[in-house]
Amino acid sequence: MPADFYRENPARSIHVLGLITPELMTRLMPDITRLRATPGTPVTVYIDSPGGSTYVMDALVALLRTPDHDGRECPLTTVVTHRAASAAADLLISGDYAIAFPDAIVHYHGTRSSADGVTVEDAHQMAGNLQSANERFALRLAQRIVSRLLFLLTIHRHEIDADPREVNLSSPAAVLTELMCRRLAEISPVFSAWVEEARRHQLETAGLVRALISEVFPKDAPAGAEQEPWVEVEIRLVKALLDYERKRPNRPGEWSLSEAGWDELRRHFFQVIDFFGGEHRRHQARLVAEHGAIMLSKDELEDYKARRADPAAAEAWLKEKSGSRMSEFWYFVICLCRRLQTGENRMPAAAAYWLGLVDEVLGSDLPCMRMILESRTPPPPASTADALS
Amino acid sequence: MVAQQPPRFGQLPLDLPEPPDPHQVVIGILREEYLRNNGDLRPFLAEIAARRPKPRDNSELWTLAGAILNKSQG
Repeated sequence: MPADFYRENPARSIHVLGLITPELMTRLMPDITRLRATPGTPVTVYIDSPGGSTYVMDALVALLRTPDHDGRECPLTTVVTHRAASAAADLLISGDYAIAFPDAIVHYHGTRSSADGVTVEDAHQMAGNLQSANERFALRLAQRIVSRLLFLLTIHRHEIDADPREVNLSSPAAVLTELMCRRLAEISPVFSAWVEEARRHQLETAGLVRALISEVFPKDAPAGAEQEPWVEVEIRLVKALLDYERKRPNRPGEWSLSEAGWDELRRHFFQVIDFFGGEHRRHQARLVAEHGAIMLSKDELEDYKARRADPAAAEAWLKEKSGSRMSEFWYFVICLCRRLQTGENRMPAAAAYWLGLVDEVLGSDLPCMRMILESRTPPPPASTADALS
Repeated sequence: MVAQQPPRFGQLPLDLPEPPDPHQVVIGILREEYLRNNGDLRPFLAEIAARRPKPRDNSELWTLAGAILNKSQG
């Protein structure tokens, strides 16, 4: 494995400059096919773009990731030099390793669409399409950034352990939220507010789930109940939610379905359904196997180390201990990504690092995967001049 | 010198071991360091920081005196 795996390489690169359009794709095609001829060797994608077509961006990534005859791909290193906005921000996070120049700007927002002469029916359909596109991009973003956020938690959690203030140290999501908020607030309170908002949403869902789980999934369910149609679960959830909303304390005014109650009920319904059945749950097994140890408390960590003599039993124990904490963590990441798909979110490189959008900010002391890898391998020469001297 | 065995038909290239995935290597290093240091990676981070090349201050090269000084020292 080359020591410079996580370093930008202008000699094997393409430049995504300006709007992402079909013309840009046509222009880049010959370079991409040439670079793909050396599979297994990273391709650096330099980005300075205000965005453009998400379809073209997807096609560009698909082309860059097309395997050769033997199924081997070129890993992608994406580098934002000046600006990565909208579809270009999605391109940035599509890299296996994402780097930001220190003065670069990353700009996230929800999916957009424009149309003339829209009817009510069209508007309804467009809203649905945009919502599902947002959800798709949020999930993809979450899949990309969850590893970076677990990396941040592993590397920096000692900072919160040493100064916990009022943080629940047994909750990795709470520790990460606090870590991100403290560091982002040093840059601007605007950025830490995004994280706080995501955490509030996640806690609200957790509260709903706690309040409703016994009614939606009753323990005294008859044998074979796990094979019941999912719609039965949904019906029980609607009934439980209606009861929950009607009785909920500390409500400022009278609650009724015909006021805002119906919309609220609908929102909470999808929140809970998503928690139990969302696609995000598929990824949790891998995450537990790779990062489960950082979900453990100090005592549990000692216990885990003692159990490692029997690897299979230790992994089963780790899964049992850290599974629910990883669920909470993962759902927080989903909430954060949904927040980043809402409104306009423009940030400098350092904020993008603390939000898990980039792995490395060039020239900074912020720990990154490259530093870890190179700690076990000799670093490449600092420059061509140094190599020749 | 031992003569190398020529590859048998069908041995290349799919039979060659794939290079390790760097992400998995990094996760493996982190996991071991995390367990070895009981979750406190400060010693490991200090070790990494010590390896990091110090940025060179080239500002004095922009003056004639600085350029002459650097040349005489080099």
